[in-house]
Amino acid sequence: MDIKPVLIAFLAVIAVGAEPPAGTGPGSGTPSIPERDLIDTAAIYPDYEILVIDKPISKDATHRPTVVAGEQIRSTERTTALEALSQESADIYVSSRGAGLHGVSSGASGGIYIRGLGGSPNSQILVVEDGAPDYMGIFGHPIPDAFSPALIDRVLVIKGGDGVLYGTNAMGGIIAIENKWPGNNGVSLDHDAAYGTFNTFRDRISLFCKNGAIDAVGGFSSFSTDGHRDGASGSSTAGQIGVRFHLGQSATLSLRDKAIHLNGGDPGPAFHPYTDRWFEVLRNTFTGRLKMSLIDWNLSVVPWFNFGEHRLYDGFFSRDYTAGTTVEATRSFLDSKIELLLGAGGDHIDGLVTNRITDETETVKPMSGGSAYSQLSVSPKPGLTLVGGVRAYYSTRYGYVPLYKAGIAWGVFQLLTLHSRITRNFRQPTLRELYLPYPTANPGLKPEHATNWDAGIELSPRFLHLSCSVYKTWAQNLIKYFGMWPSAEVVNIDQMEISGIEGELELKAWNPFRFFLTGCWQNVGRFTKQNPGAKANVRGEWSRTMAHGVLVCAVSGEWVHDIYMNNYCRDQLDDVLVFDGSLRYKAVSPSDITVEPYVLVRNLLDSQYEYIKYYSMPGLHFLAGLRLGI
Amino acid sequence: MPGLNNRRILQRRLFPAAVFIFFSLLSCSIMQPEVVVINKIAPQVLIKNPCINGIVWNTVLKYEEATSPRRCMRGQGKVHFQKFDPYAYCVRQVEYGLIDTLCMCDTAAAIKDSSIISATPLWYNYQTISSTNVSSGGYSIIEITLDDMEQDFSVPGPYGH
Repeated sequence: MDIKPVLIAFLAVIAVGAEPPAGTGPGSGTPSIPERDLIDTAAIYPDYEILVIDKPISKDATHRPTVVAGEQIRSTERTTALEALSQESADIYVSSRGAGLHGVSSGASGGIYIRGLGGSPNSQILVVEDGAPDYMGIFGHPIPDAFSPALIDRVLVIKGGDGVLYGTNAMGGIIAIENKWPGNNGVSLDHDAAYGTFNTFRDRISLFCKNGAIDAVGGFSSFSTDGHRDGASGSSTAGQIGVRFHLGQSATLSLRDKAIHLNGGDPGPAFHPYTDRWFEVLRNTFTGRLKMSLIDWNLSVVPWFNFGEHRLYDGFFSRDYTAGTTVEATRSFLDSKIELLLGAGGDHIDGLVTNRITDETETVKPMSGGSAYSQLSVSPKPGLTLVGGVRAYYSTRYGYVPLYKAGIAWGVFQLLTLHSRITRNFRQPTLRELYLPYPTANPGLKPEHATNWDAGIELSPRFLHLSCSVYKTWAQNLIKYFGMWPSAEVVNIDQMEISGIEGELELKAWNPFRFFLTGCWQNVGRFTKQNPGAKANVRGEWSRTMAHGVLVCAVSGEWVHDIYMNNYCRDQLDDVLVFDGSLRYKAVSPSDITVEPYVLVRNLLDSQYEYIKYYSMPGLHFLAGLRLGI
Repeated sequence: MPGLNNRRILQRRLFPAAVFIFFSLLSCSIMQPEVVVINKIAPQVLIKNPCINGIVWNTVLKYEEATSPRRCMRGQGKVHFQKFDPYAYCVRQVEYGLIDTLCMCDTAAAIKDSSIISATPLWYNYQTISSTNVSSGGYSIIEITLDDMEQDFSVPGPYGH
């Protein structure tokens, strides 16, 4: 029996029951308390009084990261959480192929480009969750569909990379995810279920519990869809649990585990759909974190262990492991005018690859690395911050690799900030590129290096935020894939330069309207494969306070220009222009139950567009849901 | 009374909202065009796995046989399919001596070297020459004919990851 309609109906019944009692409803006489006093948009989602461990925006004050709140990701009109990040900054580009899942292997979307680096595969973009890197060991890239937003507090997208603080793979950028912990004693629950076109069902539950010195969190999310065409169906299930112990006044120990199971397939080009090219992914990530203050030092120890199994229709089977530990110590001197960060870390990657049909096993040699790093921040006068850092990385395969960075941020006036940063980053080849025939092995590959520079200006008067940055990347030995099996090549290319400019405009205090616009233009040179030349995102929001809650109507749009399926400007795709919309009614009952029915309308203009050639995106479609917070 | 209030809320807010959402969801499905493909090539020709605009019928159609109607994405597209001509195949098998006799064909001199031909029937990729524009809410019957088909070399390699 299909339980989805029953569950939706059940939630609808709860929603009716959760409405405020008679006497405060419309048409029932004058409310005892003025309605506008009862309703406060900020009170609708107090975020369950969540505290975040690392509250400073970034460890490097000269970073200008894109900060996306977890709430924003969970309520996005876009199809996936990664696309929600792309919506917030024009220099982040994420490809898509359908109504929910990005997939893995051939035909997958979810390639993340940040300022022209990254893409398919995403091994130049590092995803860090609660201080621990999260990537598939053998293929060396994050799994796009493993980005589960149920417990996320906020996400920082650090553009331009930071190899000094994050090590290998942090070349194009870092997506740093911080999860939530409960703040006050008690239990809170958030449940969001939605159903829509293409038999799409989405369910998220998050539970927060605090009892004295112990915090506990749990999250579950499930997604399934039939897809908008044959072969595009799929499902994902993710579960997370975490517990944090307060050890006295100045120490906490937290343990988290996240498991994810993905099922789906490559639907193939629209004119030649595949219905049997399935994949199955099972991954688990364990992260610990010990934070403590020792004399004048703040210490943080983060061990992690990540493993996964991938199965494909053609017999491919892989099991990969990554494990490591990072130790960091920070201390302030001279009334916080000088901050020193010292760190050390090590990781180990191993795995096995077999073909279950032919029973052939590929030889994969494990890789290990260790590094020591430091960062010094100096604030000689208010508003001026200088940052410098170095990392010495030692790889068992490539030996010693030096990395460095330097940055400056200067608040010229209270409203105006100038900033500039230069970083030297690197990525070591993945086990796949070295040893596996996908599409071909090349054990002679050298590590990639990139020097990223940016400079920008920010203007933040009370009613708007305006920023503009120019950036340039000089990359050497980038690993590129050419041709197809059996004539494929995986080689280092000598030199590549990327330059671009991006800007943002946000109108904040024009109630009841909000408006956000971001745009980016870049020159990526010859390597144009899935690396667009220009992109813009827009979002407009209108809200109205009503009797029992707040009605919020939002429209967001994306325009992508100069997308090519191949390097050297070959196989150009039409520009993407797509708008999504949402309508939400956020209400809080006197018993503090939040009820939020909503409708997401995707592709409002019913445009025909595609990010990947012949992988046409769905037309107009809907998702209707109900969210409850207790 | 709370019960009455709930009923009023149900009537005035949730019911219209539910109706709106129901018809919105329904309209998305109805808007997708329906397509039928008919094999009109020749009496002895079979076609397999015809597909257009994101849908594929995993079936074999004999002459004048039609697929069931199915909804697909709107837009312009060609029908791609695999073609097999059993008559030509059998004639070749007789020519190369892999089968003894075949009615309807001459008794050509049999070549006893069976290694030069595979006994496995081969389905070749074909596509229609003309494109069909299937629009939202439409219903299209596409007939595949002998003078509107060509070999299909368009199947791309994997996009890669």
